[in-house]
Amino acid sequence: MTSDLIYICAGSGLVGLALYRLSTCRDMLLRVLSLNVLAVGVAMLFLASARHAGITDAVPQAFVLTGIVVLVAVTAALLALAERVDGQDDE
Amino acid sequence: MSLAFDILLTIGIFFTAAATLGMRDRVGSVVGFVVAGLLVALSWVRLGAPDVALAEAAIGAGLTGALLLRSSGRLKPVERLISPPSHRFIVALIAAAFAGALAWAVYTASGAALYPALVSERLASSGVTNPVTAVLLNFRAWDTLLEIAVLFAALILVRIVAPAVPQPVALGELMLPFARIIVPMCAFLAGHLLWQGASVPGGAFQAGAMLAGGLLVLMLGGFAAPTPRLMSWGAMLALVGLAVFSLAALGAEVLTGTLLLYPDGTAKFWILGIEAALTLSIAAMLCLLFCGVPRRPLK
Amino acid sequence: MSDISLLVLLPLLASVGAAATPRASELWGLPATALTAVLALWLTLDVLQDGAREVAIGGWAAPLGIVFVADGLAALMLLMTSGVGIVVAIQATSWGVWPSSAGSEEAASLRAGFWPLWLATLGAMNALFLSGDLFNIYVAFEILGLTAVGLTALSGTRSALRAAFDYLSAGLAGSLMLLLGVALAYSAIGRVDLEAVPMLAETITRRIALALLVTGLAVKAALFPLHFWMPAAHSSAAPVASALLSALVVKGALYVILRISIEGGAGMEAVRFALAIMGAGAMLWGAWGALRATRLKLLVAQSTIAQIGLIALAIGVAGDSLQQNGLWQAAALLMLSHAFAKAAMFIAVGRIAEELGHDRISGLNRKELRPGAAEFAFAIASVSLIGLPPTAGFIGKWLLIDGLIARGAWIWVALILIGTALSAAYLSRVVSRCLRGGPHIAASAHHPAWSTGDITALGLATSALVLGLASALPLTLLEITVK
Repeated sequence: MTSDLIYICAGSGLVGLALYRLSTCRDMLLRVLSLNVLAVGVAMLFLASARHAGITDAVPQAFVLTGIVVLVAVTAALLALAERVDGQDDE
Repeated sequence: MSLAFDILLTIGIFFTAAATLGMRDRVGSVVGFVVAGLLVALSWVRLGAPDVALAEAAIGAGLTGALLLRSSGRLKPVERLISPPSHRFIVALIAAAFAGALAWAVYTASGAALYPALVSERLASSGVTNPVTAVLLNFRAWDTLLEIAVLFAALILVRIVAPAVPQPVALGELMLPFARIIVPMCAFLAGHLLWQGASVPGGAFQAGAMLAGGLLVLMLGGFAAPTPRLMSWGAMLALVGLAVFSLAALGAEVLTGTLLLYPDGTAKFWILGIEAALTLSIAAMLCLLFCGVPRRPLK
Repeated sequence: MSDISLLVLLPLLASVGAAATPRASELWGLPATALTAVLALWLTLDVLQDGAREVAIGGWAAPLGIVFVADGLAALMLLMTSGVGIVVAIQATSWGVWPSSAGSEEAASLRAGFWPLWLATLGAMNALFLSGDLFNIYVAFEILGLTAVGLTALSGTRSALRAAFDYLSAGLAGSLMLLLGVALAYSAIGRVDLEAVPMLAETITRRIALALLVTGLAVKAALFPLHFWMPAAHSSAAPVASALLSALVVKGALYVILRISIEGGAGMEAVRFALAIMGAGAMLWGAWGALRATRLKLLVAQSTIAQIGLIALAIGVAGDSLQQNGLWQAAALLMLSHAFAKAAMFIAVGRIAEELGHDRISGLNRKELRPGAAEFAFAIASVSLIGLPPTAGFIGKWLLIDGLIARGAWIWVALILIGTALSAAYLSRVVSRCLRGGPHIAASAHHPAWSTGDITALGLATSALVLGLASALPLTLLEITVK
């Protein structure tokens, strides 16, 4: 029970940290990193609430897995755009 | 004992993440991110989600880290435009308050446990014994289909934006012995993860990521140059996943009358077939997301 | 194979085909869009005859499995997407996607990028409209986010790429807020399907989940004050892309907000009130931005912000769907009319810019050019956006104001009327300059030559007009719900 509380706090902390960084920093790579940290925080909240009597619920695990794959796709797209934007700024 | 471990782990995750987001050095940030990702994978194991831990380590920390490193080399140096301290302080307070409210909301939530009973009731008829695979490829296979469509959409976007293809440089003498061990191991582990995913933690996504890792080692080590022809094959393979999954879904509908309802008793074979196609396709898609998608000449 | 599954899988498979054969992508694109329109029509007729349908995917009932929900509102949204989509698709074929003298190679590569993106957008939106599960909605939004950003980045200019990056990172932040809401909902009630939404209005922790869901959706719908990414994205994209983005993509998020509001019932009043306030703010802010805009495309993009505000206001004041049926239907009708009018407007603006060579508002009246079909299309679309009879925009606003007057909610009525007056003001900036006749036009002035852009823009604008006359049909459709 208390170990869940630890992960809930960690998850919320990561969400807060990521939102703070998103609101205060303009750098593109750091925004991508903050969004990834935000996703990890949300995943931690999902899985921390998924423990019922010692077994971890399978459906949130599937949610988090789907979320990880979706996130890597969007991260790749974001980075491709960032590289083109930054590259063009040089010209 | 385990409580102390959890505390240390979460403190480690939080501070690594904070360091990642606060560092000036780009490469340092990315390395911090990969370390945080591995610690997070450990925490998934502690929370009883080994499937997710495998995926997090391979995709979340591994592939994302590779993508970030590739970009950190190409983006201009950090000229941080950070808001003034007063603004930051207010935002920090709001963020901390939000995090606190969030933690309180999740902790006090009563959380009726609906899914576990439903899953265990239906697990026997799903064709596999690993509940996560059952959810991903049978109970909520529609989510997984749309997820493959997300990867596909990202690939189209990457093709349009067309970042530069990574050009491998000679990495030194140890590369060949390293590749000789790692690449076959990746291929073997991928097949193993795919096969065993039906009953123990594993599955198409983890296998695909493993295979992608091996392919990237081949490419970055200079053993398989990213020629246009090779990458076109990769592009075709990437498209196969979504096509096969959609056609299988429609095929199942033709056979049984409902979308994604596998005919009685054959669920296991449908799932394995779809997963095999998905593994190869996901490996290709992840590689192409890293290398960039080839633009075929249009004339 | 049922029409519901094909509505999503046909466009997705066609998108794969178009991506695999870039040279022949139109051959996948047009037929697939047309077929999807036919399927949407078929589904609508089915719903009108037999009532709303629910299909459990894979035979697994909710909450474990995912359910397709095909009721009147979903059918209307599907028709809207296919209808606007097919006209815009026609535009994209003969016009290419880039309205300049770009060489055929560039146009070819743009077409090769456009069709897979448009088909994937169509598939994702259909999946969104038919979905009955919150996590499934999240995944569909991720597809939609990527394809919409792709449409923004299609033109390849530096501003478009920068706008695309900001759009995608804002979209991801919105999706993650939505996912956070789903996580909180899961921890509070143990399930994430749409039927469970009424349970989310009961206690404070659950309402936080609801607030997070709506916040994430508000970012994706470009609702003030979370709209910061939108004007740049919609104004720097190619006209065909802007048409799709403003007319259709933002409607996805608005639709989900509407759906949650309908399901949520009486307990959601606080969230609805916040929506109404944000909507009113958006109407005023968007109008202010449009009045100050110097470029046509920026004006149209700011007008979208104002119209989204109006739709959000309509959802916010609609109240509990069990008590007042009329008002949320006004929101749906406003979404429909805005889609046609805004698509017409962006295509018309593209044509105007093509003829004039620029899109500065101050330079719109030229001596040697008479107004052409594109300017008329813009004017007709403006009529629908302002809400004058007999357009569908008028019917929507009239339903809304009528319902509000019946409740005695005078402040909201006043706000809507102010918003209407402001939209008339900023739209007449353009219309008055475009349609000026009189002595200053040179004797040798000519009409611009007709092109597909004129036809499609006129077609869309006239549809917005005609929809008002035929508005009984959408309204009957909207009455068909699952309950």
